[in-house]
Parts: sequence; structure tokens; C-alpha cells
Amino acid sequence: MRAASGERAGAGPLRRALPAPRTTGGRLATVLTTAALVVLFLGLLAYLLAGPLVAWQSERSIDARMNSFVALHARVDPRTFGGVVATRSVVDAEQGVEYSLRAPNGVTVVGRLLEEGWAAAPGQGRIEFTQPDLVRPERGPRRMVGRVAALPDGSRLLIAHDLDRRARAALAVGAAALLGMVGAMLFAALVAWAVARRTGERLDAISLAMTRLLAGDLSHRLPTVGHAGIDRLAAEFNVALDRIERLTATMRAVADSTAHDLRTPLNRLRAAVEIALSREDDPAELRAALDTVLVEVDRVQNTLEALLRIALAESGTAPIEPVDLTAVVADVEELYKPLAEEKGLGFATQIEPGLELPGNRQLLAQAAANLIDNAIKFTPAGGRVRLTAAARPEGIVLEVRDTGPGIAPEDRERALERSRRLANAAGKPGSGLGLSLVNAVARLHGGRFELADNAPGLVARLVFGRDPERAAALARSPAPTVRAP
Amino acid sequence: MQLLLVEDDLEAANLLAGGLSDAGHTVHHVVTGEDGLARVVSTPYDALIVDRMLPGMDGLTLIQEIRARGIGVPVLILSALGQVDDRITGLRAGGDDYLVKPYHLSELQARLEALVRRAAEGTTTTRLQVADLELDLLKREVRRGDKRIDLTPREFRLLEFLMRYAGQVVTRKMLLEHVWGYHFDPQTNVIDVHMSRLRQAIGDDRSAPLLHTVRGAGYMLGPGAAEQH
Repeated sequence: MRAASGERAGAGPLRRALPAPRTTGGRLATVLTTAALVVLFLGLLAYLLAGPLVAWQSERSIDARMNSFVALHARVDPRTFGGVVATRSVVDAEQGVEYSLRAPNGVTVVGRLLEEGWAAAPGQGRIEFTQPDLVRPERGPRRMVGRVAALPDGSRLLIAHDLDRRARAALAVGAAALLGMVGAMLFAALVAWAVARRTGERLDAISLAMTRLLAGDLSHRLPTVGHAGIDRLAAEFNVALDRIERLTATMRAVADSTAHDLRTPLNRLRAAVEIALSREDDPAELRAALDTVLVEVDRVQNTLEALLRIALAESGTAPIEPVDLTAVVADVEELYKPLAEEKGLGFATQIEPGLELPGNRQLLAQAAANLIDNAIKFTPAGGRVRLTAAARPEGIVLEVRDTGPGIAPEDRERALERSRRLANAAGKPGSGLGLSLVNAVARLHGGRFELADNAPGLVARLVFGRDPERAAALARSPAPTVRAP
Repeated sequence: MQLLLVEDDLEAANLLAGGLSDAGHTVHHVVTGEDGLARVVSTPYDALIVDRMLPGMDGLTLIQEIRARGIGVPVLILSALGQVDDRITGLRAGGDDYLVKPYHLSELQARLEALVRRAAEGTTTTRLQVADLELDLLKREVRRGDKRIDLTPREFRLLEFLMRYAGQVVTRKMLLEHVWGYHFDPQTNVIDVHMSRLRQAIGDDRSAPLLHTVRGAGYMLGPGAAEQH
């Protein structure tokens, strides 16, 4: 009862403790958006700097051209030189470079588009001027930067750049690059957003599953959403849920069987008390009735004790330490040997030395005691009980064989459950929980408990696997503690 | 004996105090750990019975406080928590014995008497004697009159325990805990068989037995008839 209310009380804080959803995808989108903004800012900066940069670069390029033409002039005759300038003038016009050559007599030989330049530069050196666009006047005047050089034969060469045009070309390239980058950023952001959304949907599915779990539907499991990382996490979570469900089922079963196992003796107890109350005038009968009360109270207490022991073993919270099983079994043998002899049973034992395993000494001793107790209890006088503890290929085996009535194959499963006193156990002392405890102890130690036919009689066998350390560690993975209320 | 009971369950406390008074003890009852501490500091008690779960200062803290003040009074812890590690924490905190609820009054009484006896005697005894039965702890030898008695190591420990608490009731649970080291009850009363073997071994005479069965409680070693509890 207490466990149930605790669970309900626990759901609230757990839900509140969940942090606001922040996904990896969402964070990625934020980063990319920031990056896109940075790129845009840099682009704007580049746009503002483009004019000065282009002018500076133009002058350097004009200088380079001019030097090569001056060198050419020294090697070729004036007519050829004029031809080369004319040709280059046509070729470079596309890039906004204009040439003009003036003969020593002041007549423009090549390039008539730079008259304003000549007007601005009577001598030689760097010039800036505005030139009406004679080819496409609708464009308005062109801002030009250029240089005039005086050649050795007295002619002069003017090379000029159309600043606006070059700036436009540079900007076009820059803008294309910028657009490409921004586009890539936007695309990446879009992808990130989509990923975030999908992740979000996956997480929503998990979140929904969690809500159902918190609502008490422990059979629900987290869905596989097709993402390796999330699926692995979900799988691990599901394993944890399996264990929680099993433990909850155990607790529920403990509560159920406690109720069931206690109801009968409590009813008898009540009846005995009622009888005692009605016999107050006869001291002897009153005393007899009170004796019955005491017997029933003891029975309730024993049952409770046994159930709590089972719960302790099943919850996996019992302390685990290295246990000398040889000594444990030898002690239990010594405890029961006189009882077996008293009952006229043959009691043979074979305990191998050096049997060790990590475990809980008290629970292992009790399991061994329960097996022997059972064997002695159910084997009629003249029968035999044989106790063996040995290391076998499949692990450490603790076996008790008797020549009693045994348990029919179809009843063996039920004999391991709680509160299942088989028909032939009627009238024998005990809570009927002895074998259930052995079963729980076996599982706590990563082992198994099996019942078989001794033809005639019963073989009860506890097998602790080869790797009990790991098994015990598994059994001890975090689990809620089952305690007495 | 003068006893202090620290227990917040009033009904349980009244029943327990009544039972202990009937047995001839003086019982003071307080409800909180704080009151318990105040009492212990001012009054010399023979033993304390402390419930583990108390409002305010809990039982274990109370015991630690008492021990921190250098008071060595024997303490019996009562608790609804019965797992092995609960017992260990209880004893580690300075308790001398640990009894899980629900318990039998006779069990509690037997343990209380054993605690007080142990506190009074200490553990330096090397020789125990009850009537003509002698047990030498150093030589690990038992004699009855002139006759030497051979015992198995377990029987020796069993007899030693009974002789240490001669004249007092020892319960089957106490024997299981102290002689066998088991904190669980076997389903069948295996102890009874061991006791009847011990009886034979020490040559107990039916007409004048040393080892008595106390109905509904346990056993008692000592000359004369066992008082019926």
C-alpha cells in the first residue's frame, strides 16, 4: 500500500524535474543562422569596400599594362605598335579597359573614346576624369581612372579603366559568391531545422511513452524511431523498464500474497479470540483458546517473515560478499543432521571443499536449510536424504535428494510460487513459502532452481552459473528496496 | 531492573511496560529521543529499550548521542526493519542487541536479561560453572563432577552460551543467532533436537535436570525447577 502511494507521490516531482526540451538539431539550426548573419554582415562590408578596392586594383593593373606597352614600344615599329594597341583596345573593352594612342603631332591614332581624358591630362602620369559614353550614351558618363605615358618617339599612350564597370563586375562576382554562401547557409539551416524537427518528433514519441509509463502503464515500451543513437538509448531504457516492471510485479505479488497468506490465519485468530471471550468463566478453556491465539499469531509472524525474506532476495538489494559455500552447507548439514537421525532417516552428505561464490551468506544458508528441512519433513521414516555440493561443468551445484513422495511434474512449477502449499503439505509445519524463497535466492545469485524426479522422491537442485560474479552484479543493478512497512 | 523505554507507539509501549512491570522491573516510558536522552543523562538505568523510528531525534541518533557522552548502558533496539544491514547499522550505532517487531515478550525479556548480565560480567571469564557442570574456555574442556564430557565444537558453544546466561531464559532465536550465526528461523524446530542431544551428552537426569525447557519461551540452564513463563 505504501509503495503504491509512494509511486504516485513520486510521479509529480519527476515530471517537474524534466528540463525544457532542447534538441541537438535545434541547437545546430541556431548556430547556422548565426553563421548566415555573420556572412551577410561580411558581405555588406565587402560591398562597401568594393569601390576603393577596385580603384586600387585598377591602378595596379593599369601600371602593369602600361609597363608592358612601353617595353613593346621599344621593340616594334610605330605602325605595329599602333596595331597592337588597337587590337588590345577591342579585346579589353569588355573588361572596361580603354586605350588611346596619340601621335607626336597630337592626333589621336587609336581610341577616340577618351577625349576627355586627353583634355584632363596634357602631360603624363595618373589622371581621373569623366568621359561621356559615346557607345551607349544612355548609360551616362563613365568615371574613369587612367595613366598617360610619354613614349620615346614623342607619341603618348593613355590607358584608362571604367571604374563603375569594373566595380560592377567585381560586385557581381562577390554577390554571386555571397549568394552562394548565404544559400548554402540557408540550406544547412533548413536541413538542421528538419533534423531538429524529426528528432523532436522522435523525442515526442519517447516523451509520450514516458507519460504513459508515469501514468502507471508499466508494460509500455519506448518505440524504435529509426535513429541509431536514440534507438540504443531507448533499448537501454526498455531493459531498465523490464526490470522495473518485474520488480513492481514482484512487489505487487508480495502485497497480494501477503494479503492472501495473512487473511486465513487472521480469520482463525479472530475466531480464537471470540471463543476466548465467550469462555471467560472457564479458566482452562480460556487458556486453551489463548494458546490457539498464540499459535496463530506465530504463524502470521512466520509468514510475514518469510515473505519479507523473499522480497529481500527478489529485489536484489541484499548485501553481496564472497561466501564460502562449502562452510555454509556444512553448517546447515550439521544443524539438520540430528533432526534427520531423530526421524530415522539415512542422511548422507558429500560436500566438496573450496566452493566459493559472491552472494549473501544468510540467504544462501536459508535456502540450503529450506531444502534440507523440506526433504526431512516429507520423507517418511526409513527413507534417505542425500545432500551434495559440488563444482560441475555447469557451475556450483547444491542438490538435495530424498525418497519422499516427490512432486508431480505438473505441480513442480506451482511449488515454486508463493502461497502454494501442495495438497500433501497439509498438516506439515511451515509457511509453504520455503521453495519460493529458494527460487528467489537462486535468481538473486544469477542461478536457477529446478525440481526433478528422484524415482522415487524429489531432487531439488540449485545451480549457480559459471560466472556468478557477473550474475550477481546483474542481480544487484539498481533496484527499489522492498522493506517492511 | 530499572529500565527506560523510548517508544512513540503508546499502545505498544503500555503493553510492553505492563509486561516488564509484571516481571518485576521498573519501567520509565518516554516518547521522544530528546526526552530519552535527558533521562539517560540524569538517571542510571540498567538497560534501555529504544524504538528505532521515533519522531524528532530517531533511535539510532539517540544511541549515538548516549555513546558520545560515554554512557555504556546496554541498549536493546526495537525495529520494524529486519534486514541484515538494518541490524548491522543498529549495532554499529552502539546498540547491543536488535529485536525485530513483532516480537514475543518472553524473547524481549530474555534478551534484556542477557544484555544486563553481559554488561555486568564483561567477557574476561575463562571458567564457567553451574552446579557440578564446569566449562573451561581456555582448555576447551567440559566436566561434570569427575567425569570429562566430550562435545562437538558446536555443542561446546551451545553449552557455553547456556552457561553464560545460566538461570536465565535463552530463546531459540537467541541460540540460532549466537551459536549458529543465523538470522532466520528454520521451519522445523531443529534446535530442540540439538538440546536433547546436549542433555544426553551432559548426562542430564530427568529427576533433577540442569537444562530445562521453558514452555513457550526457550531454555534455561540451572539447578532447580524452571519457572514457567
